[in-house]
Amino acid sequence: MSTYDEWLRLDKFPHIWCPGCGDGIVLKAILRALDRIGLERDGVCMVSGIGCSSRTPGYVDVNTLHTTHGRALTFATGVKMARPDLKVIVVTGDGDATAIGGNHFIHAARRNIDLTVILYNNWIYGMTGGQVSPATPTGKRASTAPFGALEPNFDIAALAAAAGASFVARETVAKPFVLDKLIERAIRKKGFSLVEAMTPCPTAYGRRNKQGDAVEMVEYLKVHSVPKDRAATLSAEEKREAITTGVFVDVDRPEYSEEYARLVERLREPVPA
Amino acid sequence: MAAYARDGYRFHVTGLAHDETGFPTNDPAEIGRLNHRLHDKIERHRRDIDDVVLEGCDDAEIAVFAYGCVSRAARQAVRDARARGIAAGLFRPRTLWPFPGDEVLGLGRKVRAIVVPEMNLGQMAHEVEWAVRGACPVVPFGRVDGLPIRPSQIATLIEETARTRASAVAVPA
Repeated sequence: MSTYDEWLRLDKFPHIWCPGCGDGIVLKAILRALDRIGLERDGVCMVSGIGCSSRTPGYVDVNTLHTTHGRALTFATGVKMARPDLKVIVVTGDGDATAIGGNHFIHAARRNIDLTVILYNNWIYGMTGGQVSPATPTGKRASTAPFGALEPNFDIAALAAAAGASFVARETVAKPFVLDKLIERAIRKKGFSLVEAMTPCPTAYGRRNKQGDAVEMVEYLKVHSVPKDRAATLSAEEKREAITTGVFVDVDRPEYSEEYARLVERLREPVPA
Repeated sequence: MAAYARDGYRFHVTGLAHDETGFPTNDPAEIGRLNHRLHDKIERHRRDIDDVVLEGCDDAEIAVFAYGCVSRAARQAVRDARARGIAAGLFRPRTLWPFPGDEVLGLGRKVRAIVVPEMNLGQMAHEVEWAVRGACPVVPFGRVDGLPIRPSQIATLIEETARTRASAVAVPA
């Protein structure tokens, strides 16, 4: 069995993530998926924005791009259009992708460009000091919401589905071996695919919301996970804290970079006399 | 540097302050070195970056410093002023950073005044004043009512400045 060492830049360890952070679990799930698919490291490009999750590419020995806040998808779109031969994987967080990068997120999904987005959702801006994010559940505390978040939060998977993504799934780090299978499917899928990985942030989120230590937070994710089929039977009250998991979208739609190449071909054809 | 994602060269690119291998760093010595290197690189290539378009500045008594869309109105105003016998010139920077301070100073030493029309209330005039260092008066003109500055406004400004700040000489036709 592979140790996955060849996928890692071991000289960049130790990583920056806090004790108890779930980001490393998602990283390992990504590596298992890459390894299983049997991709060449030279053929993969991993792009991220800003935040804890966005530090992931620094540790992965593929072509990596650590870009500006919210712009992972814009850089990734450029990479994919310039080099459609590369497998482009975007690693981002709930704040990066749905606040400052919110428009890029919905439009990349709408275009259905062939990118695989692994979105680490920890309900908070962890790196910058625990500010409220668009994913912070209503009523939960953050450094900028000391009395609880007033606003309703995004259902990120539903957002991607509504915007037109080809593949949308959600899983928690409490089930890492389900997570890696979803990531594998997302990478194999042509078109815009999203895996929303629910991951604990004990430092910035758990501490403020009295959710206990890392183990308790993973336990919380496990207990509150509800497979999508069963979620339909829940009452509104039961749904409130439920984390719906599973594959929400798996459809085939025209992919943007291929459509673009086709357009170029068509315009190159000589005009009939 | 190897082309990105080509020929088996896998490397990291970051938008953060980084070390020589391209990875983020918090080491003040590394970050200081990076910022100084980037700054020095700009300074070393000033001549390649600076881009100033001059019109009639050789014998100008009144110069107009105009950047961006204002420069088109300024060009017309300078030509109109010349047609009326005022030695006007246009100094139009197409790059603002690094600021062409030496060129502005050289201009300030030759002319009687520099007028600075801008759709602000003196942001650019302040920069010009700083570069001129008192070599000549700098006359600000700001329009902030949402409409672009008209050539006639700048022409009037040139004429008033010529009358009050200098004894304009007639330009041979």
